[in-house]
Amino acid sequence: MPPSEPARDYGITMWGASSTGKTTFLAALSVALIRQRGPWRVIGADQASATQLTRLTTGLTQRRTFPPATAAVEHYRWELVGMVRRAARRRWRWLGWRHYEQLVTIPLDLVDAPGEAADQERAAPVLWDGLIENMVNSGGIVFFYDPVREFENGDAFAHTFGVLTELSQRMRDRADGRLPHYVAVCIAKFDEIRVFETAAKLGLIEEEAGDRRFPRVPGDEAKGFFEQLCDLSHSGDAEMVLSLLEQTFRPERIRYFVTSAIGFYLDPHLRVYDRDNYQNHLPPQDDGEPARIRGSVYPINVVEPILWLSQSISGEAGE
Amino acid sequence: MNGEMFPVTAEWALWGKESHDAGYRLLECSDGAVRGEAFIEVLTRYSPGTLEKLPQVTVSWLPDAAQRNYVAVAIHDTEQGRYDAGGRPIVFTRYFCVPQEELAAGAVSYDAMYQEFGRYRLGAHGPEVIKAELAGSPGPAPGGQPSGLAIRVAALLLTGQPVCILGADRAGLDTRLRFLDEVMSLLPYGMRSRMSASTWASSTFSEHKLRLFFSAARRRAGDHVVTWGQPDTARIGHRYADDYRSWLLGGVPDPVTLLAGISEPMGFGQAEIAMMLERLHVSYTEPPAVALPAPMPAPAGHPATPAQESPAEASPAAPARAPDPARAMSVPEILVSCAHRLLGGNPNFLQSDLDRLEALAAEPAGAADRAHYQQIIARHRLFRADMRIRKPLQAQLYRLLLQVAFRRPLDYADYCAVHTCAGQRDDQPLHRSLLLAINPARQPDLRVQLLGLNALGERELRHTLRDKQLPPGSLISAAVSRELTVPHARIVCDIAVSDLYRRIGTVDRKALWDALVQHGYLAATFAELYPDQPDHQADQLHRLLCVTFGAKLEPEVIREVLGHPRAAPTVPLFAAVLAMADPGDVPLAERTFTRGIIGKGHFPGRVREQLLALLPPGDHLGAGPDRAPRRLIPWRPGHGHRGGR
Repeated sequence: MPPSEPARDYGITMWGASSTGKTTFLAALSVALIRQRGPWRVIGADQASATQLTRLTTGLTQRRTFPPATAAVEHYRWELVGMVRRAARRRWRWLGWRHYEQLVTIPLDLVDAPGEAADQERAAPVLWDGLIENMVNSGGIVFFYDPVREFENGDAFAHTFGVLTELSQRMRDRADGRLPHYVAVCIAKFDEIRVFETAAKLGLIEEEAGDRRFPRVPGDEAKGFFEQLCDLSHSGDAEMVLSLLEQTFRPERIRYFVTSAIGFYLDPHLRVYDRDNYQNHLPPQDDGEPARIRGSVYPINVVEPILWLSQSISGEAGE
Repeated sequence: MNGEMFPVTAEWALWGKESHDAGYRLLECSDGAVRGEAFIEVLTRYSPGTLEKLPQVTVSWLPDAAQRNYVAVAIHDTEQGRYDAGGRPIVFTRYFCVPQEELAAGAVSYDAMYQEFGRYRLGAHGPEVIKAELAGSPGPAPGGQPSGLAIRVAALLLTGQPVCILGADRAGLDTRLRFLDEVMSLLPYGMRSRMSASTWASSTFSEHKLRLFFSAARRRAGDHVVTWGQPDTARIGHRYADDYRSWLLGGVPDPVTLLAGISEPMGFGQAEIAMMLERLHVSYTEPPAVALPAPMPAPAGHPATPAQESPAEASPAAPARAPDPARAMSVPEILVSCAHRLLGGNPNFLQSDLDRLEALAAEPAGAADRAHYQQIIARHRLFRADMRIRKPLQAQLYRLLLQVAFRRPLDYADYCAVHTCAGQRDDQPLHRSLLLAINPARQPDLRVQLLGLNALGERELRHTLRDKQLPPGSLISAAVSRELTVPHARIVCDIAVSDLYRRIGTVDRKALWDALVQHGYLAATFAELYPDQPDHQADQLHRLLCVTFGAKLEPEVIREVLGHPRAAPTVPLFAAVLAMADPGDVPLAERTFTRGIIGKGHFPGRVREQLLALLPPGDHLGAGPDRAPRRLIPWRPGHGHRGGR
């Protein structure tokens, strides 16, 4: 690392415009891990973070409400812990591999900034600086692209460009001219009708393995889906977001995920995904109503980006 | 101020969202001196983060373009049926700021601002500033004392580090806001011009700028953390904070009224706090430079202190250091600070220095350091009696000075050093408060015990001696100690004789006789101590002989006493023996005395032999022919024989 480069703490910053679902995504992480029945679970690394983890998770599951809008740059220090099956070569090689389970802990230092912080023109300096400074010090970024918001506001490129320009300026001493972060691009709100139907029309949907048969966009199609969605934007600028990301970060350090924090509705009696009755997000009918979650949450691609980022960062740190 | 209303002009801002907004923004603001950009800056700078429970109140400050200081309250709350574009409840922040000098006129509390401005619905009546009347501070309740937690928090704020209060989840908003007011009432009112605090802050918003806040958990920052309902009395470890806490606890009778009157704007920078503390006579801006003075000569007759014996051990002169309140003070600095406080107007708040000394007292100091401390104590007269401080504080001061600057327990050399430090000659007793701190009855060195008790008074001495029944051998050894100065030796000898004489008939006479034989019946000691008072010598020796042998001396005893194999008899000893001898034994006494002074006196060997040859033979030294010899029977309890007076 060049001496002029500031020390990075290998945290992960959530980055996206307002109301793109950053906090809801974090709130769904614990549920997603439990639903996967895999080796991982998430715990708080300090009292404050543990309290927030509980609050966010129970808000989503018990009250079925979305988390309140984030008002400041919040730091969550969580940890992914799990018994991971490892293999080691035996002393007598002809006996093959010996398997054993090992407790692995992956630190998750997550930074959740309010969406308005990414808008340099409108954001208060303290919020803007807070977001940029945290991104500088992060090893990973979860970038949220909300196709619905882009369809309505068409401001994704403006938000992205401002932040990346500032970030590049602050980290301009990089030898290869690209930022070193790992970036998980999350095409959010896959459960929204317009997003899901677009994917369906493009023929990108496949059925998830298992009893519930939730639809999903395969990982290798996610980037293509992102490109298609950008093309559909009214602003005509969204297609530049992809290029901008790949010019700013190393392409091999960018991955695309089609995600939904709350997932599709599942009728508690049928217990199977219903193509004609899948909307889990109940938007407010008028201004005086809150948005609600219709049923249980079944997060889609929430664990994967976090796990990939944290393993990539910690792997790099260990090199 | 009690019950009085004070007119104020409040500028305001409303922060929140419209229903079509996704992000928060400034919705409206007044058209006064504070501009919209300033409102945005201060609202985001002093944000408490994402709040779960509402309403909450944040207090802060801002200057306007003309650098006029404003004190502000921000009320965070939701409104029924107000949701943003994402269907999430909108948290509105109503922000009101008032020129600090308008509030200072009535020492208006944050609670009074909240109660009044909480009634306003902003934006409904145009951008005009608000004209309102706020209730002045009621002042401290009669007999009401600030809580220990508020005192501690107020002191902690002087460190410059934020203070986080945990465990107040169940306390209501009003309680928490009033606590913020209570804390601020223990600081100069002018500090509100730079104060930021909140009744709640998100524990995961680690970058907030609040100085004082309630929270659910500690954040990752260097905050001081206190627990609601659990006042901590431990030392803070920051000079300004400890001094101030001590001052609040005992320095002034009514700090709240005094502090409410100090309304000039002032901040929490360490330089400003130093000035404030100096103004209140709490602390000194410059820590006194402490350098090792030239070693003092040992007092006449006193053994040299270890430092004087080995100058190489002396501490190097400590250079004057720049003030750094977070640095732990050294013992010399604390001692000098104590001296400054004692000279100041109200020294009762030297408690903070004593707390620092207490923390250091457990560490034993080296000989050179102790000598250094003793010099500071002497120079600044820290053992003096005329201190205008409470007796318990004075006792604590003496106790700690004795602990850090002298060996524990005190030996005789240290006792003499205490005398020197106190500026007392050996023939002058130490004052009572210092003696009580020494607690002579518990000192293992018998000389220190007897000297201290004697200085405390006849009653204490007699009481202790009666309780302890000291062995005669110990008393005689203390009395003949060559280390004692003449005034002290006289005191110890007289105490030993009078105590033994008081115990006549009950004392272990064999042990006493052995001790007297070992020390020549103390004849030489008394001759040295009272050279011009032969009658006093004779009187004391007579008492000792009475205790040891009874009222009458047998011929064998006379031979033993006056014919001591190593010590020449003195005239007062001869007089004492004569007074106790049977008339028939007087010639024996006379002959024994004569042989004694010739045989062990000043003559050189040859002359002595010639003189002894002129005297009758030794076997003519027997008792008179008319008396049968008696055998000395040591007295034992219950066996009848008692010496008479």
